[in-house]
Amino acid sequence: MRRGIKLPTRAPSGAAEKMVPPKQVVLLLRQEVGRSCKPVVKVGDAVKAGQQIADGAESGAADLHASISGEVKAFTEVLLSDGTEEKAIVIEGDGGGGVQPATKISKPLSAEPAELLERIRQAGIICASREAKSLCAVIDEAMSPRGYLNPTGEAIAKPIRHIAVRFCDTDPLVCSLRAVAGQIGKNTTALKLGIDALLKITSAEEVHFALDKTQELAAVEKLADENDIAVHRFDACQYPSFSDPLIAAAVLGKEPEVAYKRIHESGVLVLDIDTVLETAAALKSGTPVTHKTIAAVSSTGIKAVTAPIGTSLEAIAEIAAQGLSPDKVILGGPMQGMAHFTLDFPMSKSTTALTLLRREDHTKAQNDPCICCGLCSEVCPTRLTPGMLSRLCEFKEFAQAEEAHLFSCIECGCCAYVCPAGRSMVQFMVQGKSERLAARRSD
Amino acid sequence: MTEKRFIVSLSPHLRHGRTIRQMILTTMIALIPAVAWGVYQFGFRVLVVIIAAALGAIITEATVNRVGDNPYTIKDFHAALVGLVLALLLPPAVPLWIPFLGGVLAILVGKAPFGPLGSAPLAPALVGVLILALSWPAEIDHYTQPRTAAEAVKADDAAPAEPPLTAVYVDPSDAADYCTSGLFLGNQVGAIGTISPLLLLLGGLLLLWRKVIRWQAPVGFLIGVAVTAGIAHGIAPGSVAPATFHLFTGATMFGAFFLCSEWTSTPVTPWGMFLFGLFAGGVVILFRVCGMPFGRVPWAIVLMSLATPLFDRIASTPFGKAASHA
Ligand code: SF4
Ligand code: SF4
Repeated sequence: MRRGIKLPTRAPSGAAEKMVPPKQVVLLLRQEVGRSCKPVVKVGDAVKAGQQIADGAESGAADLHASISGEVKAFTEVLLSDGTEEKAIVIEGDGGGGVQPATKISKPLSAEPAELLERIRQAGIICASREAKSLCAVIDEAMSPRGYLNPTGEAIAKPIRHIAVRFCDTDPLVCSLRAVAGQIGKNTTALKLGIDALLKITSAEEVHFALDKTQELAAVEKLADENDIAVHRFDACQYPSFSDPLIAAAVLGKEPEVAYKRIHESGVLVLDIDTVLETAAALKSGTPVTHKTIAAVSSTGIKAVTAPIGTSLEAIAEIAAQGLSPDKVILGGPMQGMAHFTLDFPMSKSTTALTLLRREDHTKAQNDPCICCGLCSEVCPTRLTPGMLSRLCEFKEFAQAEEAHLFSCIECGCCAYVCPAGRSMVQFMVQGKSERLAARRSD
Repeated sequence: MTEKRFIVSLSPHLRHGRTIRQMILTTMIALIPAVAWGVYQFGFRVLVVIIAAALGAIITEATVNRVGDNPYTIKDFHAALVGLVLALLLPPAVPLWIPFLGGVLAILVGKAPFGPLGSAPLAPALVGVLILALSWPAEIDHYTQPRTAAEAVKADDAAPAEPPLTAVYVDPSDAADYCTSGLFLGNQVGAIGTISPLLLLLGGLLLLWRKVIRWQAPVGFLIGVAVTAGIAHGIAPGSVAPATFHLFTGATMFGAFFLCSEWTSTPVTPWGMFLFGLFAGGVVILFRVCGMPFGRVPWAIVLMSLATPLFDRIASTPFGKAASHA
């Protein structure tokens, strides 16, 4: 049975728009979950685009680079959506195009895997998926021979057997990966280099491409053909077909376990196309991540915009929706993104999209009682009974919810999308999970 | 800080926008053809019966809201729908206090004690119908000949109006007298809203198309009725009418699309819904063959509703679980 929900995908209108460098960028020292870098510049220093401004060697964080050329204006604190404050470096642009010269690296793949990984870290590559970890941390976590503690308490270290490259965004209304994929054009050497490097680092055996069924990328398909790369076609409109578990299921030919597990434990590492291309750039010429192609989504249309990291959301909002006055601002797409309370916030490396919704574009959750209509169980991609789970969590029967496979929920939001009672389903699920984990920790 | 603050909430930020009220209104719209057919066949009095039932339900719900100091819930039209469904299950010539009382009881006994919409374990309309059937059987039994009777049903003018199921229960060989297409098109004696399988089917398709109901329970129910009747007819053709007869008489179609798929009282898991329908369909035939004068479909569905929590346990294996157990 086909599950999930049909959402309209609107293809981006044209190629990614290059943004005029803003007057000022604000670069958060913590671009990824849990790790931050130490500044290596002082106020008043002149920096070029691509020059390292903060170092993460100590904590293992990805390095941070200036995204425009100019002068370090100040160190500041930015209020994050979780209420904590985070240090950031403010750079005022000089309007010039000063770029840190690239260092050409011949035979990039001759280095040892550990060195390749270090170069990836120095290039500051972040996987802009929901978890927002650096590529380095993702690979490290997946491969670490120490294993790490997962919620059930056992140490696990499983090899990565497959690398899956996602060419299309999970959120159907977001088009950033599509735009990046569209820019590959005829030249696939970078893609090939990125893949080869990742294969070498992870010693994975197979590579898979996940493409939308309407995506026409002749060169990419040719590359796949020549290199024994399996191409999987999904329907991006059938949300959440591009989510990690569903891609991994197609790759493995069977469904990976999702409860208490991260997808890479099934041996599949799902990476976005932009991450792979950034890897190639880092290894070929030491080019760090300074720009990001993100989708600007609003009721007036969807655009892909390539902007320097640290650009204010306000500037992007102007491109996204001229004259529109939103009442909800979302970092990410409308299905999985995080609502943010202000537009006065810098875009970070883990921003995939900026979605602006007007009052009339979104229906507020109203949390009426569940009427057991069964719409949600029909769409749940993990075949749960979301209505019942939400009721169990609503009435604080968290243990029972866990028994009813609460942890198999991937928080896709399909159930909330269809619920006629307007229940905030994902909130119930997330709350239930965190209560269970907290209870377990205190045991 | 004076800059604009935006709304913050957890994902997803888009919703389909379908509301319970819309779904209830759609159900009412889906019933319009059947109601119109009832009016055509039995005259405008049936509208009064419907209004009496709806009024009974609405007034009771409003009173309960008032007494309980809760927000008024009649705005979602559920009470009105309960009244409508209840009225459609009654014979056309019932005294008017019957539907009104039915509406009152449906809400008072079937819905209000359990809490807001979504809490009642049994469909309120069915509770109302069954209380009426148990308490005032003689008052309920007021069937009239439909307008088209002379053409299609038994051309026996003097006979009192008798629903086909009752006739066949008395004398099984009577089943042969009914023309299947006539039954399907709605030329039969019966309750106000249940006599036209064709129009009910159309209404059901509308509900399926608008995703107000899931297909599993109705399909399971129809299969249950057809297969059970087919088997029983095969074993004892002399005492059981054939499957087509059972599919197109009584409240079979009505039950499939408007009762079996009532949200709260029926399961939500795909297999749960299908088996619910299947068993309910089987029980309907059991009741029809082994005897019960009125309300066989309501009884069967209410009986199955009691087992809804059990059916709900027939859940699919969650994503990735099959692999880990294999
Ligand atoms: S229960 Fe979880 S996995 Fe299922 S639809 Fe809801 S959010 Fe998605
Ligand atoms: S869609 Fe909403 S009302 Fe319907 S069963 Fe699921 S949670 Fe309950």
